[in-house]
Amino acid sequence: MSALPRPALYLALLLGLPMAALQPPGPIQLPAQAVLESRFLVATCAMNPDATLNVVIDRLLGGGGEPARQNTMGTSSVARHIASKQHNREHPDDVEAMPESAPCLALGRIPRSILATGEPVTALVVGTSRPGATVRGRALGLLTRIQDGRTEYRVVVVPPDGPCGRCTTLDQLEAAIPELRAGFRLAFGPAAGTARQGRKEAVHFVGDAVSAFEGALVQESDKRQLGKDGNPVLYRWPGARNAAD
Amino acid sequence: MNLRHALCRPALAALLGLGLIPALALTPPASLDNLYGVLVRPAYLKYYEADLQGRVPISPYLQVASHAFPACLDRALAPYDWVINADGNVAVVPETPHPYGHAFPKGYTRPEDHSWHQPGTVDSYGHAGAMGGQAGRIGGELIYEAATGSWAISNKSAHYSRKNPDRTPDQLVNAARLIRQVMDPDGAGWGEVRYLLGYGTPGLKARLEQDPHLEYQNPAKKTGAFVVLETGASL
Repeated sequence: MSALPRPALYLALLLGLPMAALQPPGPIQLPAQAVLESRFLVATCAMNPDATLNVVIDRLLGGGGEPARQNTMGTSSVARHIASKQHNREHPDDVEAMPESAPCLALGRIPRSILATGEPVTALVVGTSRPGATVRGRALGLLTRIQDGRTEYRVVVVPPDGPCGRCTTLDQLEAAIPELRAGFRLAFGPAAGTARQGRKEAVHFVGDAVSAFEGALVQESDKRQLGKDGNPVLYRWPGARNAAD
Repeated sequence: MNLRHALCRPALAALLGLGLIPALALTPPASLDNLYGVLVRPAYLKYYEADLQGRVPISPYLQVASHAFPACLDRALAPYDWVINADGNVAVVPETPHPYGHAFPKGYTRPEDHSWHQPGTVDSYGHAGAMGGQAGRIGGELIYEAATGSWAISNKSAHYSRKNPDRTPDQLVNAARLIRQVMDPDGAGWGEVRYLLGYGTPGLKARLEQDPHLEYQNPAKKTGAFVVLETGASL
């Protein structure tokens, strides 16, 4: 994805800054309309009113089936791989790193988001097994890795109604499901070293990426125009009381 | 007398089933109304807070803070706007640029209250972007004050607080206590809780103006009058 120099990345990690904050500013170029929907999923909102993110699942990384039992964290004991045959066929390099009792993991895209590289934000969803579906979840953290001079990101997302729904941090998630450490490496491919940041950075990162997309998508003609004096004009939204002073 | 207690259970179930007392079934818990004020629709939406089709974009930085899932404040994104929602949780967003807004290098006059806004102002997400335009309870701002290293909490919300008689100082204190419980302050402390008189009713404003501890955001011009309801140390 991005080509941040290593010192900048380490500085960002040290200071706890979101990666997007260090990416060079500049106008985001959106692709042609024909590929906007298929690549950036413009028909789907990124954020729901309950502050869950939407993630459209692209592929399964493997993992267990439906929760067999709930423990005190609301997590499940995972039993066996699902969809592993399909996954192994499509991603043979992942097979070696896939743990025997991995949780249900999937990679997906956050709609209407864009990074400086022109790619949408990739989410690693824990606790879902529905490829092609749109899953609601909360961002718990941000995984980062540098590979061949490129910085890659994965936002860890957990559905609130899923087996890990009560977890609020990556630490809680990993404590509840120790196999996730291997799963996080799997999110980048085998033998990948990753750095991790928490929820604050993940929220900031996703917010920046969605803001960048919306800013690029909305044109002047999509906005309400200012008055002749350059001031905004009074707007009466039907759902408001319209009780201006 | 409590109607739920006055009616025997079968009779209550029958009435509910027939829809004869729908208000009882649909009304949110009274305690939330008492704690944070009744739900009201926003007083207005600014011209950029809805798109041309009238849809209200939600801030992509939105968090809804609850005891089960606290929010994480980020000093780099301050200030924040907050609103207590229908469920008694706190919707909170930073004031980041809005895609349907404009920048005003020469400043502008806001049509809703004729207030002047300084050159360089950029239209930003606010309370409407935290609620998607839906009804809310008391709202305000979270300001990070570097001098004290703390977050000050106020009732500054023209959408959900101003001129509403059911947005009292007590409700602001209740909201502030909830905010302190359900938000991670990013290593900072919690500062003062300030009731801005300009966001209360005229009657309450007249009464609080007699308060000997009245302070001003701009003491020289005596504008932005407020009363400190709680200090950072007192909570």
